[in-house]
Amino acid sequence: MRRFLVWLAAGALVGAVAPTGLAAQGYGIYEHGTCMMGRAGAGIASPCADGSAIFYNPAGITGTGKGILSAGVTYIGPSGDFTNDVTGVTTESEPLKFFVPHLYWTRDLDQKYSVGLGVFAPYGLTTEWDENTFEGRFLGYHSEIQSIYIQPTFAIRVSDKFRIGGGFDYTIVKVALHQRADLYSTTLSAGVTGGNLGFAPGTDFADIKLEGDGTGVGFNVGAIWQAARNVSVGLKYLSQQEVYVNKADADITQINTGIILPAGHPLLIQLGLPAGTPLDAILAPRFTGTGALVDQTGSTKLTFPSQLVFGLAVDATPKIKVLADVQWVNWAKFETLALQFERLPQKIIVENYENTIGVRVGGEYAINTNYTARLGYLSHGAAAPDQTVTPNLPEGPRNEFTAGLGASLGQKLHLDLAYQYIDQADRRGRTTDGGMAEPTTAVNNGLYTFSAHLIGATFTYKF
Amino acid sequence: MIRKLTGLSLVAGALFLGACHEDGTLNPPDAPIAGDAMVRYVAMGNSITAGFQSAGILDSTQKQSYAYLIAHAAGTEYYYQSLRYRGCAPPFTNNVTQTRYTLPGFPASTASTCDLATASEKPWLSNTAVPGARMIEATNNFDSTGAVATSASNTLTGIILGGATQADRMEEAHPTLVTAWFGNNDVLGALTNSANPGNPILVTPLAKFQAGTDALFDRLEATGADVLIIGVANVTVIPYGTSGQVIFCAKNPGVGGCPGTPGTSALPALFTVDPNCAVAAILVPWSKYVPMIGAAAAGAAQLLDCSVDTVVSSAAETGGMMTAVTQYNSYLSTQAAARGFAFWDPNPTLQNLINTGAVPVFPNLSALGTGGSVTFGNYFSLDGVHPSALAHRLIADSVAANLNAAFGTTIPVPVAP
Repeated sequence: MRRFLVWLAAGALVGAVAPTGLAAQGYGIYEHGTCMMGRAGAGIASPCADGSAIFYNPAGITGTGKGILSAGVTYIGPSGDFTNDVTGVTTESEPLKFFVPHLYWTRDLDQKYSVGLGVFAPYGLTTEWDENTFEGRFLGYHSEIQSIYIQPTFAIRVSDKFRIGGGFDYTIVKVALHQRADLYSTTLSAGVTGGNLGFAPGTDFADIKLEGDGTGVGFNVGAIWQAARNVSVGLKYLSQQEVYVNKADADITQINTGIILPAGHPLLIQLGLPAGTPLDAILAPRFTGTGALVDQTGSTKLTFPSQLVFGLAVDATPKIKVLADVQWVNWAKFETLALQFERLPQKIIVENYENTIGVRVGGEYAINTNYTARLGYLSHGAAAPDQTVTPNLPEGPRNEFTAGLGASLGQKLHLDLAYQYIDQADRRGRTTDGGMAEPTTAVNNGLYTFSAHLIGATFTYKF
Repeated sequence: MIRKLTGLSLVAGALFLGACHEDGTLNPPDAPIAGDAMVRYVAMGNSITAGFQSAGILDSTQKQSYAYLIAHAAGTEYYYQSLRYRGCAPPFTNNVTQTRYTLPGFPASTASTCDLATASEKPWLSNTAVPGARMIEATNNFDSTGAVATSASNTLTGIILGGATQADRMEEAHPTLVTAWFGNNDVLGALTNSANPGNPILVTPLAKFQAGTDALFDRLEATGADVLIIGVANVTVIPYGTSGQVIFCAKNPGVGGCPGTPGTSALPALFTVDPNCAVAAILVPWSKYVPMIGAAAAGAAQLLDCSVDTVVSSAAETGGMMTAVTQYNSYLSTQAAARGFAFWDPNPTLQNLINTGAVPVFPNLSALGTGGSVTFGNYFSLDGVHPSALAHRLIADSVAANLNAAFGTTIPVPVAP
């Protein structure tokens, strides 16, 4: 047990610092076990025997005997870009490589009761763009959400045909939003923005890094019913969490514009300054003393929506298993992201996400007693509505294809490998709010593309 | 069970087919109807290119600029720094009373009124022109060289360019075609100098003009764009300055070789013109003698004495300005040819308007007695300096024809129906 706790602590630590990629709707992630990944995540009616049922369906941890410990990692290599309609300029997102670990331990207490503990991250995102050149940097050039769910789990074999399980989720969340401030859209005096004074769009004058953390609680429950000898049905519900991020640090740095104001500039006239005065000298007081752009604290609230998944598993032959899941996610709860600061005015980012349906279909073929091949396909709609496709999360409907292989490495050790390709439909979106409190699709100014390759590996040890 | 599996397969297949997601698409601007050279058109220049009229500029006059007309006729993207509300400064509605355009709810406008720009995001600036810009200001907002150590940068320099130079904004646009019309202000500032019209010290020295030209042309050449250079207009023939000879004859028809019948002048009896004015090359700004005519009509005797340098541009001063224009245009055309730029001299077109009477040599003062404006025909606005909307159409037609001839563009001419 002591060794297990060391493993768990290590896993949680790695998970807390490793950014996570996008592999489900919105900022959801669904790759929490390599065996399930090979099936495109399908199989809540018949979870894999690697402990990942703690996430996929807690009822599925029953029957693990003296215990299972599995540890694995998923490599995520996303790539994407944005192309502006008018300029035709394409900007690629920064190349990222994520290694997302997962860790599960389960065991039967007796024939009826089982327990387990899992660490996984069903919500998270990282998007990264060039902070100096990407036109959308004023909405965000680095956006990051890390959620580490720690879930003690308990399951009951109610009968030979019916199992239930559930767990309490304690969630540790880290959030970061880095963005530039554009002088063009900044109010410089009553009713006058930098744009009114002629400063061009894309005039960086401040860098704002907001970073903070918080915690949340929730639960994860599921049930499995053996409807027939070779047919099982599953249902799983992951509760919504609202995580309050208080006293986040907002580090604000002045960016020199290098602009020297020529004779007659309205700012010089207003302030009684001579021609040749550097604009940066005029702006500098905003970053010191009682200025609004000094380092300060901020707060926000994140919503991790509830999920309901229904699944069907059929043992078509002794060697072939077919699985299909339908996943509903209550993304409509993500309506706004409100950022509140000590000195800067409150900013409410309207999101108005929409509920999504995802369909996962997978299959397994037992090649022999030592090897199992897996295939899968999943498809889901977009959570972000057409007017909310931004650099922070240029999300869209996706088709995803998976393949996997399970191999026994002896009587107690098992290895699963899987590959997944994510093909997101090219999505029209925007890099600006167009000066609107609630931007519409009229602001959309280009096309986002996204795809990703994922490779997973999990070792499972049976005690 | 086989039936169940078949059903399951059908469901899975239906889900698969139903899950195909349609790709969004780029929404690029329509290709210009005038050819690929017009994909990124940038107009550089001064007040004329910016759309300045009647001593002011606002969005409606910006849309009358020849650059705007050409871009729209060519069907290409065109972005400009729209001046909001009353403009900056609001144009004259009456050039005698100096009344300027205003809007309901706004106070009376003055020459220093500036309602700034409309904040609308633009991917680039198609019209970088700034009223008042001389040749050197194409690349330098802080020039302080020469006899008059002052920059021509002004409020509109900041509002239109936001701290950059015209050349900077031109390069940011990655232009495929540029028109550049500078140089008018290198002599106009002398003519319009209120303290000493025609003040030679305000005429940009040729060497400085050449340096400014070289700096701009280097930047233009580096872009690889097609370039049309527009020559400097002969400011000595625009209605702002009226020939002393013309004024003398208007007051003294049939006298001293003037056409007409003695005693038939329409000018007030108390307004007299010294014979020293009867020289064609002497120019008198309308803003100098028209108020005198008004005062005379009101009963105060007025004498126009053309030996007073604070009132007129002497023949020598006028000659100096004409020489400068000739030298500027010679250098522009030579350097343009050397760099493969096209060149268009607007002066034959302007002179033709004068020769045909479309631009009168003496302004229309008929409304003066009823509080109306002095007017300068249909081709000049109420300041007597800047082209009217009609003249911009004429300029646009000429520029478009030159572009079509030089670069194979197919801009419809006339550019406006």
